[in-house]
Amino acid sequence: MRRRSVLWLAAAALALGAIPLGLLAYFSVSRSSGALRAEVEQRVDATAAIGATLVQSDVSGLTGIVHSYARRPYVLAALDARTRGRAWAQQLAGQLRELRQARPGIATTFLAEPNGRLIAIDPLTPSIVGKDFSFRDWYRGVMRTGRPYVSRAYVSAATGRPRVVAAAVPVRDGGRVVAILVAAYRVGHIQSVVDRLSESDHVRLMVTDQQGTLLGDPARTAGLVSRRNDPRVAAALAGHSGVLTLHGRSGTSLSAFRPIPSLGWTVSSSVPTRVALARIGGLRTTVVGVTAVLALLLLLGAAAIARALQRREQIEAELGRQATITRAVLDGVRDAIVLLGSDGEPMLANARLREHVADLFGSLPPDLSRAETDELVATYTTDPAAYLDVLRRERDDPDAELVSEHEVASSRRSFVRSSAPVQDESGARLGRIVVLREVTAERAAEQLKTDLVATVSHELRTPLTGVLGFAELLGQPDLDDATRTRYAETIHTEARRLTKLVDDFLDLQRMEAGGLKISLDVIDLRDVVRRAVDLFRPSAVHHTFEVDLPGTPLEVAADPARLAQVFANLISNAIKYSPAGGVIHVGAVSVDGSVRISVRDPGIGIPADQQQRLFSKFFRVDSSDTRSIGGTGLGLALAREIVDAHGGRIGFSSVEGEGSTFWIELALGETQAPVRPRVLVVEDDPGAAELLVVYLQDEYDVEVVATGTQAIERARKRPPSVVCLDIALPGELSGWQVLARMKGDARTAHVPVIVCTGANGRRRAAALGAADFLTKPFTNEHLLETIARLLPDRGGDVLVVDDDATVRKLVEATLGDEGHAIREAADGAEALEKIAERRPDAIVLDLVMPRLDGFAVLERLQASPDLRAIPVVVLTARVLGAAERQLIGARAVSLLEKSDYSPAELRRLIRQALGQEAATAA
Amino acid sequence: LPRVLVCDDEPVLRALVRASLERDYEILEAHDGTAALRLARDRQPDLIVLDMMMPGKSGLDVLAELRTEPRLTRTPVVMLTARAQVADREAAADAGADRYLAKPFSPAELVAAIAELLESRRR
Repeated sequence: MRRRSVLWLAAAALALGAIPLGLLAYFSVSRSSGALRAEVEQRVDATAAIGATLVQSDVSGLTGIVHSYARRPYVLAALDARTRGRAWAQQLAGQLRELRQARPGIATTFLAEPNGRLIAIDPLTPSIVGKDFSFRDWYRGVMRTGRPYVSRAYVSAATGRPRVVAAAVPVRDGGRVVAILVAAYRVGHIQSVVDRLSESDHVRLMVTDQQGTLLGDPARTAGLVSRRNDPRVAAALAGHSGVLTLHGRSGTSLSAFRPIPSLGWTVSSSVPTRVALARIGGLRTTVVGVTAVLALLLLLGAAAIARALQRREQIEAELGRQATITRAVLDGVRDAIVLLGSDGEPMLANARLREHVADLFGSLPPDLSRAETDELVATYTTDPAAYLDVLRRERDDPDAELVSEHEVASSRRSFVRSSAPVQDESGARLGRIVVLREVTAERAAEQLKTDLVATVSHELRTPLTGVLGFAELLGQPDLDDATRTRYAETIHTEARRLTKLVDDFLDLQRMEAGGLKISLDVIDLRDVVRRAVDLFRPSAVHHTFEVDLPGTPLEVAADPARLAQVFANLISNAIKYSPAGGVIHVGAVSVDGSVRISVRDPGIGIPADQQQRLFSKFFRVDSSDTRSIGGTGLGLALAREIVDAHGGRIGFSSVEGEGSTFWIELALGETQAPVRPRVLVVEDDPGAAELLVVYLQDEYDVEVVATGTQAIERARKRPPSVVCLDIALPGELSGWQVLARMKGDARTAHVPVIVCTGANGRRRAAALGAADFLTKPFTNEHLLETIARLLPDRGGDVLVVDDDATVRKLVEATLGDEGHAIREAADGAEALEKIAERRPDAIVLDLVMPRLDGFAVLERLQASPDLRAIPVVVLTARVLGAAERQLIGARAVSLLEKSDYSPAELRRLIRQALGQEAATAA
Repeated sequence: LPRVLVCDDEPVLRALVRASLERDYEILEAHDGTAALRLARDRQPDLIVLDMMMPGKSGLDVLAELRTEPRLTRTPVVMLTARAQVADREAAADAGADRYLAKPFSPAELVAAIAELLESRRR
């Protein structure tokens, strides 16, 4: 389209240049050819006139001679002698010969009787002598006028039969016509007379007689040729003279014609236009040549212009493309970037900056000056003076590179602001680039770390002070034994406390780093609970236990040692926080495929305002003298990590002053129904949230949170199958930030997020990695369909290969929840049979097995092109060497050592394996 | 006997202070800041040993309130803290603490500090 417009433009320029050029050439040729033509016409006309005069004078000269001979006495004398019968012929013949030779061009001369009979002729032609020629024009002309007469052309009867005109003169004797003397004049001679004129200038003259007969010797015929139909001849015969253009076979000619009145003849002159206007041709050639050169230059110019325009368009397109790329790169950066001109006005800003401005200030009043804007922005920071100082330093020293940090007062968001001068290629200053990097999270993390260090320091130093202090006091010489014992016991207690603190803390650190080792077994939960209670019975002399467990086994896949740790924690808390004599109730109920174990105490309860922080590290209920209870403040945090690692839930209900009930929920290993996919709904509006729950609860487990912080926390702890995310959320984080953080965190990046909002932002959602975007209001069907589409296909065919039946059972229990069809094989050979029977979608493979081991199975799979793609999760208790790891790494999708085993991890690996295969196949 | 008020949320630390001082001083114990202020007003101790990091009112909060009470303005205060940073020391000094002991501290050191403070106050 653009290319075409360029061509049009060039064509227009060409036309604009070419039209005047053409007109100039045309007029210059036309004007000069007009002048030349007039000149040629004039010359042709003059030639015709001269020709006419020449012919007339020639013919009248002839007539004059004939007339003079007619009056000669010799002629009369000869006639008289003839009459008298005397010799006359000799004399007359001499006269006639003389006359014939008097002028060139005379073919014959003869004398006729008044009745037209021929008397004599020279040269002698006896055959016609005596014949009557009264029919001839010359005879009739002379007899009619009685005067000399020039006849029209005829073919003479004399020797040679020349084409002639006759000049006839009456011979009178005393007024009586006694004879007629005639000189027959060759028409060819007349032609030769005028031809002398036409020798130059290519002008040809044509003379006709009064009948329009050509007076000339055309080569083609011996007879006469009539030119009566020639328009020139016809016009001249009618008495006209003039000039006209003739178009003939040999080309165009310019012609003049005029009558010769005295003879009744016509003369026409003509010159071929080609010749006459040859000079015009030269001029035209020159003009056309010059014009062509000019036109060529014009064309080249137009082409050059077109090319330049086209190049410019290409450059513009390239610039546009570059700008798009630059924009995309800028907008893709997480930092906010703005380029300020030398005047401090923004020249370029990326999406993140506009976002920040909108988030922080809403819309800035548009008509503010630069300084006013800076002042206004400064007021939003916690230290306006510092902000303005940075701006002042930038103004004072344009070369300064400054880095400063500012905090937004309202939202407590922190930004590091870096600014540096920007120069173009020539070194001229363009302005200043300012980059704002949000460091809120980093600062919060730092603060958290500082607080943690302070807390840990405090928590560690307290028992340490006890140990060191009492140890010092023990050294006093005058202590009694009882005091000494008491001091020693205190030292022991505090040292144990210190040890536990260190253990718990390190455990917790490891768990949080993802390194929690739980080894799952199928166990009866009742045993674990009973053992935990039994452990406390001896020491808890002031409390009574009430244990209420079902009569049937509660089989779960769990790490019994870790679960014991959790129960010990809950029971110990129950003892610590309830008065002496209280009854501690420990019970278990199974509901819907999961079991809930609860520990209830009649203790002091937890104040409502502190309940939220209950699972935080080092948190201890802050109430009168709770410190005397002891504890590390890490127990519940640890318990939560352990329960999470089991894929379970932990929670409590409590009323201050009345007691608390803590519970954990675990999935039952055997009897449980397939675990349903979990949807995390992030929605602050209770009505909307309730509606979503109604929509979803038939097919999914639904969890609702109201704020972004909670959403992220929950998603990290236990990644849901899908997140439905509202955008307008109360609190620190908007839905966009929740989305960005989830996608930026390896633990939650894989969870599909559906943005459910009443506002716009589909593109932004997609850019941030949302899986889909639903605009409120949406229908139940639409929501369910969207979620169903995003969930991974369930029900893969998984082959579990292990010689240990317990492990197979465990894996089956774990994966059965996911909807997979599980087949089992007790060794490698059986596995290959099962694979041959039906190709599984994934294989969970033990390495050390009888008959055929896992390495061999991997090798067989690798050897078959069809089976090579089956994802394999190697599950092994064996500690692998580097070489073995490499061997497996090349063939298996993933490796899970049994010491690292957790159901969640196995589920994740299988999901990943199935997804991966789908991706490879696609 | 001179009267010393000990305020710390950790029982073991109160026990340690008591064990260190009980021969020469009458000891009052408070497990948090509120209790400490009440006891200080009611019993007019000669010296206060105050933990800095406590739930609820911190040691610094308590000290600030003490310094607004006319009768307690000049009561010597020994701050106990787990924090060992200069900033904390300065914060304690700014709030009007007379001595600063970082945990873990030596009982002898505490005894010496208290004796010295009471001695100088007496003069």
